[in-house]
Amino acid sequence: MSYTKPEILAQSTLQMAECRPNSKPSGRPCNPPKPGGR
Amino acid sequence: MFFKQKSNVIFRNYESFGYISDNRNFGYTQTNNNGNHIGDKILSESGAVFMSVLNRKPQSLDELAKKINKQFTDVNIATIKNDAKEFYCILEQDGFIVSGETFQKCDEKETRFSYKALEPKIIKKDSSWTIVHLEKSTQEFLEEYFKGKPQLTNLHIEITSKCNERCIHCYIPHDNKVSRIEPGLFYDVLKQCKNMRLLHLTLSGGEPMLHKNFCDFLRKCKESDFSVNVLSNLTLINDEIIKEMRANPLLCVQTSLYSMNPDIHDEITQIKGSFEKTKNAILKLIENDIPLQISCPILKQNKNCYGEVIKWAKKHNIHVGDDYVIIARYNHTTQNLDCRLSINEIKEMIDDKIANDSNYLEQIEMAAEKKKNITSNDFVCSVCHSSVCIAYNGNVYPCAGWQDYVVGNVKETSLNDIWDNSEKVQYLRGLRNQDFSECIQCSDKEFCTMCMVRNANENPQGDPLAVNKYFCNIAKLNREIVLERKEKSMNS
Repeated sequence: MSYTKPEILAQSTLQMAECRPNSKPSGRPCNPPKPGGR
Repeated sequence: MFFKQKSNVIFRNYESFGYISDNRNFGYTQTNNNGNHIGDKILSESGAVFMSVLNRKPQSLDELAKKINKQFTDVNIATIKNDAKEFYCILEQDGFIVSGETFQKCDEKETRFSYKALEPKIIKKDSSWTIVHLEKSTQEFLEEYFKGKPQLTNLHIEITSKCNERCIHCYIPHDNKVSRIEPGLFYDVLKQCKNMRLLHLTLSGGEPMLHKNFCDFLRKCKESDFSVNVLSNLTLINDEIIKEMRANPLLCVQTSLYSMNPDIHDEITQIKGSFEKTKNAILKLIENDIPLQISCPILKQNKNCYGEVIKWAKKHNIHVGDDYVIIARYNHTTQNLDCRLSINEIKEMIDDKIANDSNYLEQIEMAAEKKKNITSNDFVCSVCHSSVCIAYNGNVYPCAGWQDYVVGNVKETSLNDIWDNSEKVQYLRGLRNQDFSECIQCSDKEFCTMCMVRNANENPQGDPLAVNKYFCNIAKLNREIVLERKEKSMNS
């Protein structure tokens, strides 16, 4: 691996919409996902 | 100068890039020193190396630079040191790491989750989220990198179907609450999860604390650096479990409390004395600063008193999720729905909420406004896009409560293989809103959230596409309430 100065390539403070399996009392997810799967 | 990774931050090294995230989806939200949400970041290939040498114990800049230098032998260590300091300072500013002049100062700088320090305003609240983009969001980056291929990030494991309560609304048929996962299978799944770079595990049941290896499981999850959510009625909590829970700063607990009236709570669990045990356990978790959220499903039995749970929780700075959505059992028997609110009862409940919470109506409107952008070609829901569930017997199923829709078994096929190749996974993943043809032109669609498990469980044939009319009526009701209120406010 060749050295490059470390960088931040992307960032977000948006809640990962589809990753909230426990936001419902029944423990089920309910939000639509984004295609990337995050 | 010393640096360490914050204990509530998750890092995954993908070699060609790194991913860091707070535990945003599962615990209480966290903010950095500037009051912004911490969120997540994609680090460059060398950034991933710089991050990978950090751990949750402070290390000096010299030590860290030496470790980095081992991977970049042709670079001057002074350059690495300078770059590391600069990079770590950015990550510290954004809330992912902490620094200190000495080992001790660095270690003490990080504040542990505490209910006392938790201001009500930072408790998880969907509407408060904001988006801060660099040039690219992590979502866009990951989508491009994986070419749209879904990544498994969350796994829900039912470590036992046994339960010491018999909640009247439970979607697991009581007769099926009989067995537990073999420890060997659990550890094998955990290993696979580590290789797949999963972020989060939910340990559920039945009642997970009935599993005699529960503490070992928690320990192993911590060693593997997973964020963990435990779904439990907490009636079996003991000092050993509390100690183990405290040891994982990425752990959060979710428990159901139905009423502050012991008789009503116990009527729902069908176990005398369960209220006292759960309430006392909640207080014990608070005392030990273990993050906890209360679930309060609203049923016929507690519709007039669930508000007391919310008030009690607020006093203790605990978030409550209340919800009137109850799904049928996964074997398609529907007796558990006898306790579900009728449409009229839901109307009364929503009217009551609007009267007592000035934001409630606004929240319904905002949610509906967001759904205006949804197209017929969008995914139906998150099922098989980022999460999947495993039952005690190794059966893999798409979503909590949908145990009879088996998409594979981890005793026969690897989790990765099931995730990538199971026909049923592919099918569910491929579904779009347009597959529910009757919903496309529906005037209530912005007030509806399609959920395939609630369709499937209530349908005698288990058809996930058979639209459940009860929920159509709820969507219609919500739209009518919003329109009615709008008209009223225009006339006044």
